[in-house]
Amino acid sequence: MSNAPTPIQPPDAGHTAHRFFVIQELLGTPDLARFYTDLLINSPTTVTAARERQDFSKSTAYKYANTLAELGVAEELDEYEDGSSLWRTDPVSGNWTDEITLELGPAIIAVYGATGVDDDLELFVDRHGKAALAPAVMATLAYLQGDTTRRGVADELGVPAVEAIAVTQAIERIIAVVKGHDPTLSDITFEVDVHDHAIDQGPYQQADE
Amino acid sequence: MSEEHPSPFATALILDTSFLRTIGGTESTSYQTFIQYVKDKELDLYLTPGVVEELAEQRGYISIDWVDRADTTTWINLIDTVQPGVRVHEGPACWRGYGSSPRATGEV
Repeated sequence: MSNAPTPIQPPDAGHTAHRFFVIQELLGTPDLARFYTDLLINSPTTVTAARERQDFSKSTAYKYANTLAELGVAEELDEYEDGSSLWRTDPVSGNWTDEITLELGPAIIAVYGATGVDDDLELFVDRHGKAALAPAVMATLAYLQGDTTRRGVADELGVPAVEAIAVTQAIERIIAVVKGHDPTLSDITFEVDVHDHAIDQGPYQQADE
Repeated sequence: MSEEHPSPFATALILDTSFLRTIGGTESTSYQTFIQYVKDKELDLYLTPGVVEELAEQRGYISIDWVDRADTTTWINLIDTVQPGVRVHEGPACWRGYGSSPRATGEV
C-alpha cells in the first residue's frame, strides 16, 4: 500500500468548476450574456419577449435559450404566456482570487453583455481591452455607493475625466436594473440615484416597469 | 452694483462636462429639449477652463464640439474660472424629468 496521501476533492468542486465554466462562457459571448441578463431580470418570461426586447432573431434567441439550459442556468417551465413557454433563469456568481478577489456576478455579466450594443462600452473596450471593464464596474459601484466621484473614477482607472463619465454612465444604468438580481450586490446600498431616463436609454429594461 | 430685484432664475448656464455628456448629440431628445429651452429663454451658455480642458481630451465620447461652437456662435462663451460665491446649481440633476426647467449647471 502506498503511504501517499489520498487526494481529497471537496464535495462541491464539481459545482464550483461548473459555475466557473458558465461564467467563462457568458463573459466570452457578449450576446449570450445579454440574452441571459434579459431572461434573469424578467424571469419568468418567454423567449419571444426576450428576443423582442433585445432584438435577436428567433433562431438566435432559441439557440441561446437552449445553450443556457445546457449550462444549467435557465429552465423552461411548464407554464405558458401568450402560447409560449415561460423560462426562468438563476443568478450565477463566483469569486476569482489573485492579487485581489474579484466577485463575478450578474451585474458584471450584464455589462459585458452590453458591449455589443452600447457605443460607449464598445469604445472603452476597444481602447482598453475587455479586462479593463471589470475595474470600471468596481469603480462605478464605488461611485454609486457615494465613495468617490466620476472624476475620482477617472483617477482610479487612469483615464480622462470624460471617459470615466461616459463609462460610469453606461455602467450605472445597467447596474441599477440588475442589482436586485445579483446576490453579490445584495448587501450594498447605493447613495446615488440613477434616473429613470438614464435607465430607459440602457440596454436592459424590466418589462413590468 | 447689484440688481434691484434679481431674478431667482438663472439667465446664464455654466455647462459642466457631465451635463454635456448626459444630453448627448444633436439626435438625442435631451439635447433637443435643452437647446430649445436655451433658445426660448434666450439664455447664454458658458464653458469654464476646467470644462474646456476636459472636453479637449474627451476622445470621442461627446459627439458635439462645444469648444468650437463657443468660437463660432455668440450664445456660447468661454469664461475664466468661476468666482467663489457665484450661485451655481447642481449638474444634470437640475432638470430631472425634463418637466422642470434647467438652470445653471455647475461643476460637480
